[in-house]
Amino acid sequence: MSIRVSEGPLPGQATLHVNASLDLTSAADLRAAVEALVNDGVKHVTVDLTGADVVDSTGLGALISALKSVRKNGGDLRLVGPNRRVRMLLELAKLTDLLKIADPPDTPPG
Amino acid sequence: MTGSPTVVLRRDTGPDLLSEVRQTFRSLWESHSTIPEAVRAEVMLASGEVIANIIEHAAVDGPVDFTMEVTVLPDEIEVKLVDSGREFHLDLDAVTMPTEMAERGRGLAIALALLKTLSYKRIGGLNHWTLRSGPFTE
Repeated sequence: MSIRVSEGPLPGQATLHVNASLDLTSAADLRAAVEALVNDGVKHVTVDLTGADVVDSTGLGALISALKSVRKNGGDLRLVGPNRRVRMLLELAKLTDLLKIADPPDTPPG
Repeated sequence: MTGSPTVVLRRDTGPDLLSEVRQTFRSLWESHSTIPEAVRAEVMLASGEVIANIIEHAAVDGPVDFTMEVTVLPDEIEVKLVDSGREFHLDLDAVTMPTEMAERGRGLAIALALLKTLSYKRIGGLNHWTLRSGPFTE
């Protein structure tokens, strides 16, 4: 499993740590992990892509599917830590308004 | 005519294909350090998108024979992909980026945006894809 879940820090929040490529081979894992969190009542999901060396269009589809799931439950989804290539892909696919990138928790205010 | 390929990967479209393709590219970059990082990223991503299409559509009935030939030319990279799967019925000129809430259909649009050229032909019962990168000069 290339995706690890950590719940919190507040109730109803969770982070999914993607530690491999987010592509055809792992997209279903992300979808399943988000569905499980939503079913557990988690509303605010952060997807940590720090460890994701590659994200492709199938991975983008899984992120959009995850976003739809949490929004249906009244929540939201944010990304943290995408590398330069993943940021380029988000721009190319015109998804920067939909899949928001948040500052990591330990980033000092600018 | 582009000369002999720099590297050839010949196998089936089994589950770890994308991983082996990326490893093949990483090994190639180690021996061709002058290829710009941007071109490397674009070629790897675009190739992965086309191969994901091969896995999902041409090989929908199960693994098929697959060959990838990568040729490093003086100012660009050429990737040739051949598979023995189902024929694609598509018009690459009509491919566009789908709406933002779509969960599928971005792969070839992304590949087209990243590459100088992308072409597809069905020859002798095989699918032939040819990908050409942008130039090495920024």
